[in-house]
Amino acid sequence: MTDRETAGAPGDPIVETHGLTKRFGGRSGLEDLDLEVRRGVSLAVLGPAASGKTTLIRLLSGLARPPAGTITALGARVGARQWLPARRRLGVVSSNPVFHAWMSGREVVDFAAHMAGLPARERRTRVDEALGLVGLRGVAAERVSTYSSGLRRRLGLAQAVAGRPDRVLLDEPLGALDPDDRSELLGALDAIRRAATIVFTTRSLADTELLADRVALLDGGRLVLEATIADLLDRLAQPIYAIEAERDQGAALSALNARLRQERWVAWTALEAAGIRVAVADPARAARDLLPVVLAAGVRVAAFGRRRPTLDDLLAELSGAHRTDGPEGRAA
Amino acid sequence: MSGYRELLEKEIVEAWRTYRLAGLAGLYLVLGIGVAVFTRGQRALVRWFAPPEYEIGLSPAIAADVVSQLVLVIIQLGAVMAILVTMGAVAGERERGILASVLVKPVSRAAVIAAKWVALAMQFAVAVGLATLGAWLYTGVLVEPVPVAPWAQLAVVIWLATMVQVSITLLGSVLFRSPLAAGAFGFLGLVGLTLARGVPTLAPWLPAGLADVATALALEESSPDLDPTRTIAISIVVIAALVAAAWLWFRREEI
Repeated sequence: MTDRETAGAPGDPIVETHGLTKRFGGRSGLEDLDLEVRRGVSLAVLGPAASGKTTLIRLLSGLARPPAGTITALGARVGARQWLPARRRLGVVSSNPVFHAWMSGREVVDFAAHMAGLPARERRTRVDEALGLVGLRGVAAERVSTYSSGLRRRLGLAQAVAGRPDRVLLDEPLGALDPDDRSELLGALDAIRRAATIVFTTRSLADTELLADRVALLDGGRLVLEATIADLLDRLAQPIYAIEAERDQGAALSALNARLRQERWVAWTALEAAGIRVAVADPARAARDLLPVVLAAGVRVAAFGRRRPTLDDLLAELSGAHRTDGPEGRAA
Repeated sequence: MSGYRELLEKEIVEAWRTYRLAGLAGLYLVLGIGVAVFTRGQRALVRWFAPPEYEIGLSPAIAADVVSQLVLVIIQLGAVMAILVTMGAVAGERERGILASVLVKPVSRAAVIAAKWVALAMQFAVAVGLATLGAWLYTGVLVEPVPVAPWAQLAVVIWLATMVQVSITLLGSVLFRSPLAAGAFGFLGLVGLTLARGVPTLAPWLPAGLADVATALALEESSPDLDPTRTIAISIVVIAALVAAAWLWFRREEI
């Protein structure tokens, strides 16, 4: 990738949404979303399934139209007449890229560069660069119909960056990949983020840590958190204890849950069908006191462990925590 | 129309590489030749299969027989081929997700529709041209020599009739998300045009009258009921209206 070609200082807003709303029948896709992406930033749109991540990418790329709210990208309103030339500087990768089966990998990338308006003499070099970036030069002459799903994902990224975009939108770029494809794509994405503003969706906190500068967390179509990666890592610094009980321990688990909530060193708890997740505010005290409290509550423990927080843990914390999906199904 | 040239180039290469153009051209050529050969040979066939005690009085085949058969076969087959080839043009690409990857590039939606229509027009021009050329050559050899210019007009009118069906189906392909539904829409259009052709007062005012126009032009005949210019002009307007409707719908469509 080369340096950014368009004018504008690093840190200028490159994409802005105001009151962005999208509904599918009665179901909400996105609700009143205000978001700003600054030039040079890598933004991870994080959220569980059906949280509105793909809808946001579709709206930002102009494939879907919002019934309410606006999207502005580089001064052009998405969907307006000025949006057409602005798309020269946009690259989009869907979660399941599909191409004409009769084309070779090289032809797919060349077609994308051609449509992006790259002159013929520049195209050959650029296509080679894009294919090299994702490690596809060796199979570039083969038909796309022979590509595995991982190779198609890599090709999706190559065609998205073929036109030298300064904004790249990626929907779940690293989901469900084998280690080789994942490693190639991680390397490529790392190179791209140094040259372009990227917005990518993911369900993985690990991928977010690797690639993002900022995080927008969606849940049920609403923005529940927007923060720098450093702020997010602060929130994730405290460990989570997972207590798994033997069968038919519902009453004992409920009693333990109530007991734990009274402790100052407990940040929040989530009562589940077969156990409890406990986020701790004071790891040292938790390490000393948690297991005795569990045993004192009479819970027969099947497994007890400490682990890093997951996206689900983060959502539990942000939604006021103490979520109970447990046997009694009560709200905490 | 931003991106039109690139998209048209892609459509033409696709027609070639997927053997759609070769298949269409080959089929039409065989049919064109077949119509002339069959018209010449059908009298021998009738005599062959008729009981010996029957006296069959058949006049020798003439060019008019070939023309009426050619118009019937190529327009009817052309309509079916137009439906089959066009129904997935937009709906199929949208269903598979290919259209989304194109529309995030700096290409206008008008360019997508125009490139698809022009590419189809070129493919059917080649196919109809070959069918007419084959029929003209074999009619000259097997039946009687026929002039070039009227047959060239015949080819243009048959192509125009095919493009009416292409345009109907293209609109269906934009309106519906499934190629099958687009095909059904095209088929309804075909049924409508076929029924309209059966109404003598209505046919000259609709593209359905193009079959009679094609026959009259090839045979250099004229009739007070037939105004080729009017029927051709109406057909062109109908095609333009169908393509414009497809574009108007497509430009607001979510992908």
